[in-house]
Amino acid sequence: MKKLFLPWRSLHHHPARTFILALLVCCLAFSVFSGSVLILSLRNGLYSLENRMGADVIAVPSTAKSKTNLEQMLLQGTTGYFYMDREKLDQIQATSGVLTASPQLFLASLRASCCSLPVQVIGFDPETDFTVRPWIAESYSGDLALLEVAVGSKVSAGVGEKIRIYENNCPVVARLAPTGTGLDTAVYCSMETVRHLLDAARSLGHDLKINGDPEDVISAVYIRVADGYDPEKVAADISLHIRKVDAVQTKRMFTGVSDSLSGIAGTVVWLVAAVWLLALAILILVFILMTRARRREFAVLRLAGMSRTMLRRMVLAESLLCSLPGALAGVGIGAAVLFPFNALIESMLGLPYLSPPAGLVILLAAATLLLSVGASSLAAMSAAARLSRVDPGTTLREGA
Amino acid sequence: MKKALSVLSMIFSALAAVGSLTFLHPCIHEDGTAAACASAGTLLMILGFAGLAVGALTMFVRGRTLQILLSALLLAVSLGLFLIPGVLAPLCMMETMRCHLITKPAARVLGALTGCCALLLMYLQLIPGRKGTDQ
Repeated sequence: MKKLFLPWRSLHHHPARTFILALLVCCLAFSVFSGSVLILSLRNGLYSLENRMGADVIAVPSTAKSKTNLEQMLLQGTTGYFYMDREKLDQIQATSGVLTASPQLFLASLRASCCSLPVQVIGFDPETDFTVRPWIAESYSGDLALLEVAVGSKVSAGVGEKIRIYENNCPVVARLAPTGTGLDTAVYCSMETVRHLLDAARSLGHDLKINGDPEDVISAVYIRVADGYDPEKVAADISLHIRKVDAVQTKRMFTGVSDSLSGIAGTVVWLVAAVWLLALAILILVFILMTRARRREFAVLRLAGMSRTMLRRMVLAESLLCSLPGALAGVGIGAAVLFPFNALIESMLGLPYLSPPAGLVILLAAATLLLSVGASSLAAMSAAARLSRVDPGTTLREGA
Repeated sequence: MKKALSVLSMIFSALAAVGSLTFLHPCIHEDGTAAACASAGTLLMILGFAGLAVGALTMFVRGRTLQILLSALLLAVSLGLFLIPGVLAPLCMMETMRCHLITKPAARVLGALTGCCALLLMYLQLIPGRKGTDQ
């Protein structure tokens, strides 16, 4: 504690200088921490989307593209509904290269019981499904009975509560793990439940534009391609040979997202690097100017018996005392902006966004602290090394 | 130091109070009916103004015991600010709605900041050698 007395007094007597130094380190730490978390969250979101999708190809009615963009529905949670005859499923299953094909049925509620936003209802076939069931199995082991639903992580309804869709009270039996995509805003249930809700919607007078028997429609078919077949070719075959059906290769859909993500990540990396270089240059300059201005003070200390090493240690201690709180503040501000407002950031970016796990965030914070304090110490040491080479007697005689 | 903390707590509380009516307002239905989160906005405004008043009092009131009591009251207000959205008052069902995206996180951050100020104010009164006023 005694060793820190002199540096502490020095910082205390120059509050403006101390504040500016701490502010610079704060900017450094904030840019590195928030930039890294942002990039990691975007990558995490894309990885989660790829994992969650599971299908190689998705087939939708050709009217879907004009009605609702499937990509928007999956990524941003935009609600939509489109229908095609169930016989298309048999035709898709008969296409060469299709290993598994599972139908899904979509319905957009006009208003959930307590909020003005519509909810996307997705019905899946438990017999053939390979995308939703593994996800539900992480939080619920049973089968979904009639009207029972599993909700995405962004639907604020707990297990045991009921959500009201088209005058039907649907008990929530599971809350699904977050994916950072539009899938988190949907409600999942069995095909029977969606058909029941479809009937309810029609009886309430909502025109869902279903051609034919509502018992005999599906919205999309999720396809897993057999080994040795090219998903792109299978998708092209389906689009070409099955009337009024468009097949999309999911990887191609992700390429667009991945490109946007790379663009954003690249910009963030350049911005962080620019802030870093600028702040580091300013820090070095500030320390050089500061030590120059204190030449006489350091010369007196040297004449009073302080060795060069002790002088360097004092400057280093001063730098540590003001850079550590600055770096802590930078990481703290970054965390206060990024984590509580992550849903807002996700909706503004319109890309899959999933915060990294807590352990990784702690590691990132520690690395940022080390990097920021290290950079500040390096700047201080380089200035102190230059100063310690100067003869104290000459400095005092110069009267500078 | 104490005055700076009081002013900071007043700024955070004022942001919560004024924000609940302006940039932090909860959801508004298109048809003009009250959303499920309307009560959260009202409570946020009330507690924000309460925090502003308590913060102002900590600047002018003298006496260690009274100062500690005011700091404890400010801490309770900050806890209220933190817990209003989603715990003390319900929010809308979809987490993509405004009350979840803006009102809740902003109230939590402002509550946490006001709470830090209250704790520091209390600490300054409790540590030995402090007389409760700026020296």
